[in-house]
Amino acid sequence: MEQFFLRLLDMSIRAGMVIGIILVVRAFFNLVKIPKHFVYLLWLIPFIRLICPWSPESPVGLIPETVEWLVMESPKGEMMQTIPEGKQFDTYKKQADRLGTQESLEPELCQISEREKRIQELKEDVESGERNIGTQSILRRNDQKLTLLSWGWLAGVILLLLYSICSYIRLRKKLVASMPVGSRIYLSDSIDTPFVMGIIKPAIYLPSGIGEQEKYYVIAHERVHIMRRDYLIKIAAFFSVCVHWFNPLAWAALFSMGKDMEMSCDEAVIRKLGGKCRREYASVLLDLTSGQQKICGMPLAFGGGNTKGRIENIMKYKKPILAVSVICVLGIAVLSAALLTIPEKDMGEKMADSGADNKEVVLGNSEIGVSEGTYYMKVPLGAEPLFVPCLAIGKDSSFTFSYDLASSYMPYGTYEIKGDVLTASTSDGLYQYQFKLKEDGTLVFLAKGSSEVKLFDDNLGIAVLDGSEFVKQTKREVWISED
Amino acid sequence: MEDYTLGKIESRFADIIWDNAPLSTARLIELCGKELGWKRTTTYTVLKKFSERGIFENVSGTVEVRMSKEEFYARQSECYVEHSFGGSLPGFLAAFTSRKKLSEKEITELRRIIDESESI
Repeated sequence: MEQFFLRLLDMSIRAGMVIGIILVVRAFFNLVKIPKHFVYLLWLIPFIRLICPWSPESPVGLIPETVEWLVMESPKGEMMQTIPEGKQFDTYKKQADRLGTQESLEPELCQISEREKRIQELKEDVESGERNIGTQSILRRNDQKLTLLSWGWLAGVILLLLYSICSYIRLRKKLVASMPVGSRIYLSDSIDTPFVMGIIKPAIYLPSGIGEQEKYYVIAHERVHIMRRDYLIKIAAFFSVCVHWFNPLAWAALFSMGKDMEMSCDEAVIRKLGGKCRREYASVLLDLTSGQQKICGMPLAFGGGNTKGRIENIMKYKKPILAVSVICVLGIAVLSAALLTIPEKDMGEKMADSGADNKEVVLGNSEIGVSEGTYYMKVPLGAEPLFVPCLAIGKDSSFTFSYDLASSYMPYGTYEIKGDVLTASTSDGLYQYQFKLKEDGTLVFLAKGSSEVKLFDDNLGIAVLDGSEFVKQTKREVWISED
Repeated sequence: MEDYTLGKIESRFADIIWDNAPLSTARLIELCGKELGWKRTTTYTVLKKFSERGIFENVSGTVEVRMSKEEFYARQSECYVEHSFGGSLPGFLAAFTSRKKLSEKEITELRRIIDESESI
């Protein structure tokens, strides 16, 4: 759940950047009086960005895959709590021994349960052999906050969906007494603006007070919507934005897209019916918006509405010359390539990516190297570790090093290989760890070149010592060291 | 303040009854089906709404008038309320326009734009 939310957050931020760029491009297009048709098309790009988590690589990619600057540095040891003395300490130790079982804890041991949960998670991570670098493992430290946020997000989505479903049902009820006046065209007393509704068999609904001329133009307009499947696009866009409801740019995109949708539809009507109709068409639009309203102390229905923009657009619209159209299409194609793809990774990283667990991919200058995966420490015979220290090698020269189950600080960062020595430095720049690379693929811990790896509690876990060996394993097995 | 307004479609329904009352519900359904394209259930639903407003009533299968047409329209002229459209449309629908309140000034301005633009 939390993992999903994090990925979503990542996606949302990248989409947000794309939306920002599109808004700027849109402003430019408006300035140069490019037909709304193309502007509307532009919105396809952010839409894809919002719903599609995967992107192909290309040399023109602009938006990177993981947003590194989002990563929150949690202060070192923020979750460290002092071990209570005496009786509670024994209880804590007992619980630490019972890892893997779900036990409810008494309130005063809440602090401990939090820690135990994290111990459990670390264990699970180790066993699955995965440690993601980037947004995910960092935010992981603030577990409670993250869980809260994830559920908060889900609650928001559900609320929005419920609200939409309720409005839809309410509307359907109002439309019960509607009167058919043509193939899939209905009149209704209960609505004040025409619209198209329906997914499989879309129907046009008109307010019953509509005049003949108005009817003519409105139906032409709605028919264009139906032809272009706008009714489906609007629904899809709305629901994508619901998922990203926390992102204000997503809403901005939805509103702008709506405006562009209507304006490009107006343009299509003018193209179809001929430029001479634009006066009448614009009048109809004006009348329907401003229409007779006799009030007796009732609040007016209000809503967004770009009537002024639309009327101006209708009056000024000119069919574009071929050259302009071609340039626009090319421009949009280039923009799509730039915004929908991610920048190419360099060769070394690419090889790391493609390396399967079993293949030895060489990273570094010499023939000795490390491959992606997790290296587990060999444990002395007779020891019963709750947790085996491990070094996980990831993409882009990243690593995590778990040597102490009880510590809330998780070293991670990037490594480099010089000769037969691998030096891993944490991203916060505070620690480094060195390993010698043996020819058989084993990593040997070099205490001399490394920061302290002292255990928080010697009873919990196995200490990493100078000379400790780490061996690559895809599945966790206990390797017994010879000494 | 009670609502004495009728939409176009409601008017036609009310007229059917005022012109033919008293009539059986079966006959009403037949007429509504022919003139309005309504299903049986729709006719019943709308009739019920009118009953609640005290205008017509369904007395064991016969539709009777409780308020004559003249009476109704007399009350209407006293004060009338904008036909309540009750709430905005769902966000995922594409509406032709919104009933946004345009000021007199804005309306005039837009009229001008329409009238004065060069013919193309």
